[in-house]
Amino acid sequence: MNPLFSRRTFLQGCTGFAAAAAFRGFGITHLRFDTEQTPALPSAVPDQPPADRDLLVLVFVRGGLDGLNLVIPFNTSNADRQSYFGTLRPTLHVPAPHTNAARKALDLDGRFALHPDAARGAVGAAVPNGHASDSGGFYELFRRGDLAIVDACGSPDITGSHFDTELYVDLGGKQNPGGWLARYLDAAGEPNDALAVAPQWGISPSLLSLTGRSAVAVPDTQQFGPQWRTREWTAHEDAAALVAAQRTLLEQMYRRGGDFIEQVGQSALQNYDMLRQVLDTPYTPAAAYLTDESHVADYGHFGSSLQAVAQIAKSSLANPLRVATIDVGGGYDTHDNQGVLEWNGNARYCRLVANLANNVKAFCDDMNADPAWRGRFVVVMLSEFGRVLYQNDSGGTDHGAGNVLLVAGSQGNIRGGQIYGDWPGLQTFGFNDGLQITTDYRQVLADVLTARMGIDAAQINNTIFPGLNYTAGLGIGAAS
Amino acid sequence: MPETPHSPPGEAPTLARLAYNRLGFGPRPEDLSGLEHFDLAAYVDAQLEIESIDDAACEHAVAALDRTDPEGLAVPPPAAGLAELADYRAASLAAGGWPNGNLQRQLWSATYARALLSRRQLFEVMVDFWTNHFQTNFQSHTKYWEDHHVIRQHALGNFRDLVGASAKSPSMLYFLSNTYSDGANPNENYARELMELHTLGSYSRVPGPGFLRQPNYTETDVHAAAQILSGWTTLNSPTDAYHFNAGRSWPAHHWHEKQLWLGNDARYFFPQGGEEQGELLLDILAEHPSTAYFLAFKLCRRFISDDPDSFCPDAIEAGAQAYLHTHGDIRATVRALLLHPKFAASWGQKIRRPFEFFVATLRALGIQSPINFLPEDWEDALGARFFENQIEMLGQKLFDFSAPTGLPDVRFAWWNTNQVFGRWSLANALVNACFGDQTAVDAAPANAALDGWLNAPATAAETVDRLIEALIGRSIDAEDRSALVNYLGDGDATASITSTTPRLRATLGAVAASPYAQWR
Repeated sequence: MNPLFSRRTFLQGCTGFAAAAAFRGFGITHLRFDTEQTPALPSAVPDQPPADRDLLVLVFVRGGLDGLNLVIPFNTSNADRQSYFGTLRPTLHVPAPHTNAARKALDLDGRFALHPDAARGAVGAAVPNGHASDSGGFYELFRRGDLAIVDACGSPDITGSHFDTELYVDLGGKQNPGGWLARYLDAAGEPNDALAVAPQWGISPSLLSLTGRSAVAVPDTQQFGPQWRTREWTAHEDAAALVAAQRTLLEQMYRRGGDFIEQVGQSALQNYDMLRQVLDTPYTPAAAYLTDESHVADYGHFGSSLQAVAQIAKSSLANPLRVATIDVGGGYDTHDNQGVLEWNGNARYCRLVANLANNVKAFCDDMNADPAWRGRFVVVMLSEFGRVLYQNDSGGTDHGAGNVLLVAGSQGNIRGGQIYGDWPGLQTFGFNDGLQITTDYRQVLADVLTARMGIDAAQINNTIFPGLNYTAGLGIGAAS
Repeated sequence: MPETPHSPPGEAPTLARLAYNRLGFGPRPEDLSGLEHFDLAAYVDAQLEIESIDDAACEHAVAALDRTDPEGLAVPPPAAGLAELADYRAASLAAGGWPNGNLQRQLWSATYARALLSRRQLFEVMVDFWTNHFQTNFQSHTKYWEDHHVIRQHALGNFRDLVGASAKSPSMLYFLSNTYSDGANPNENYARELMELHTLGSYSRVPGPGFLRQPNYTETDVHAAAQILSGWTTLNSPTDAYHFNAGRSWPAHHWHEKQLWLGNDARYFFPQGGEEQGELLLDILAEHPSTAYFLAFKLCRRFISDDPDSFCPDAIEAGAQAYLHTHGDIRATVRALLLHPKFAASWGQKIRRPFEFFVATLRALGIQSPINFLPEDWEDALGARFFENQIEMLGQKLFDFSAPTGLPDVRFAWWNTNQVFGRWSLANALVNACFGDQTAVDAAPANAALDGWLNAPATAAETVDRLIEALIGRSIDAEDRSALVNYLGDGDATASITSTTPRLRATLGAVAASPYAQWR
């Protein structure tokens, strides 16, 4: 059996509301995209991006994460306590720290606590199925100041629809015609071929460019690039020559770059050698990622994708990786049989949480092991909306509103170890009976962009998030 | 602001080629003769009259597929009932097998075979369309049943029948959680997507001031619809068959009178009752004008343009009016928008998705033998497992998508670096799989099928023109053609080409991977 193929590859995306949906936002049916390609940016942009910009990894948790059981308001008020543990989530809550429960939350700041599977490996986190990647997860990142948590965060464009709300978030506001991350790259003056990758099948709509900017989809580092395949698994030595001949013909036919098909093809052919070189360089991560099917619900997509981002980042310093987008799924849309602490049966919440926390921790450790990237990267994790504050009668939760947004950094480039945002409490319900939204997610993104990525407030308000009226934000990014 | 994209380079195809590309999976060699007097209306009408199309050869090929699974059990045939599928599932599990995976692979085999061979091409495209519109997947083995008994049963029937069958399809009940929905606070998953994705759309599509501004329903409507549909379940059914659960700790609210506002345009009243409340809801949704415009929009996006709102609003209007006049007749709706002049003028508006690229390439090459996806043929690097992996890498593994939207139907989702290299590799693999491996740069194996397809021997120039005609179907840029001829003939346009010409297969792969061949 060829090691590249396994039941896992077959199963990818089979279950739940999964990571397969990297481009799901394009399923949307009531927004128009401008399909006209305007000419490339003028050549006045620098050949190399300034060295003082961080890499931004944007993790979109598709499906609507139940943030209330990830960052638990165990002690925000007496009333909240009674609501969360009693009326709202009678069977879907995480026991508070300092209780006698075997599995319970870990205290973060005396008010909020973390789900134990987001703290795997930390002292006090009682977790089954130990794994090499259990190194403290979000708890350890928070403790050392490398994780900022914003609660009651969300989009002012929220609707009850995943797909509408996700798209509005990807566009950075429902009225905008293209992706906000593509507008960032434009505003920052990054060269047109600045390396932006999506280590999945398709490009996230946040990178949808109206200025002809290219982004790269790298679904599988093992199989990236054209192949001349025969019935033998081992490539014969003449295969490369046949592919090279074809490449010359294709460079001829794609040379005009006149329409969308030709532009992308031309970009792919031009970037191929660089990417192939990167991906051919043997890579040993400096930390263990979590991809085991017994531990995650997305068949290892997320861990593999983060590792691919680290590999590409570390191997492409001549053309530094600027942004990467990853969609994570596996069943965050927990309408039924959600579970809280169970690792058995249909319940998948523990695996959803462990997948996020262990892999982001591994990515941080992996990147911090490289002096060139230490203190130079930020991971933002967001979801389109949270869940309804009260559970439904299917053992799950429906579409709500406010949610946690997490920002992981490195070596003081963010002000972590704190929980941000005005906590609205659980006594008043927001949109769809979810948590009230008190912080616009774009305020957080603007904090990161202005402090770490070479953008000023005017560019935020005029170009990237038009009309946001950003001034100081929450101060999460630490100016370099 | 939306603009028509630049036209693809080269000349536009004939209307006949456009129709074969858009209403099917591209022409086969035998389709190409006698197209000079192509009549689109006659072709559409003939394609819609599926009962009159003799498809025995294709049905025979599907029936002849070896359905032996890796454990030696027979995967049930496409028309199998729920009990037979439940029995197979139990037997497979007892044998240590993987029933859902085997059923999915068998359904791929049948679906690829039909796309490749069926003369009911438009029907197969509509099956694909509705499969995505009512997306479910093989997290339940009943997806296999749904394909035959829901999607294929009603793909060119009446929409109310289709959405009604989908609402009671075990695969849908499971996929969108409705099977678990009961109690005082039922879950809203299916009720919401029924309105947002299957019928109304989230915002009004009816032309006028509310177009894409007026929400079609409120959140209160979502919760009322969830209450109405609670109890539509498969639980406690040994075969996972639908039934209306009137027994299970039944909430009083289900029987209560209810009302929906549906965007405040009207008040819909639901008298006290049980299952019939849900049927009434489906009646209302299927008859709603926004459903007509939403479905016509999606069909236009499928057949005419990625951006039908700006390219062909009048074709949407034609389709929606046909839908409304016929109370949801799918054939009348499809016919109206395909015969709208915008269809014939829509060259350059659509690109091929990976499944279409895969099948269109095989059809262009004249391939007759279907792929069997069942065998665990790991030793064969061009076997079922390879093609499964390759189509997955291209993002269009059928019956697999996990979001209820179905797969996207616009080019941004289907063309990127991954697609460029993946389609190129796939084209090479198909050529070698169909016509024998080429393992040397200076030698290629003789292959009678390839020679027959090429009319070999022929000159390098004639051969390139043959490849362009089969795989692209219109003339291309003169310099590009010269480059291909020059490479194939090693500088001699009159060089004699056969299947043993070392440069032939690489030329074939390059033509298939060219920008020209990506347009639909």
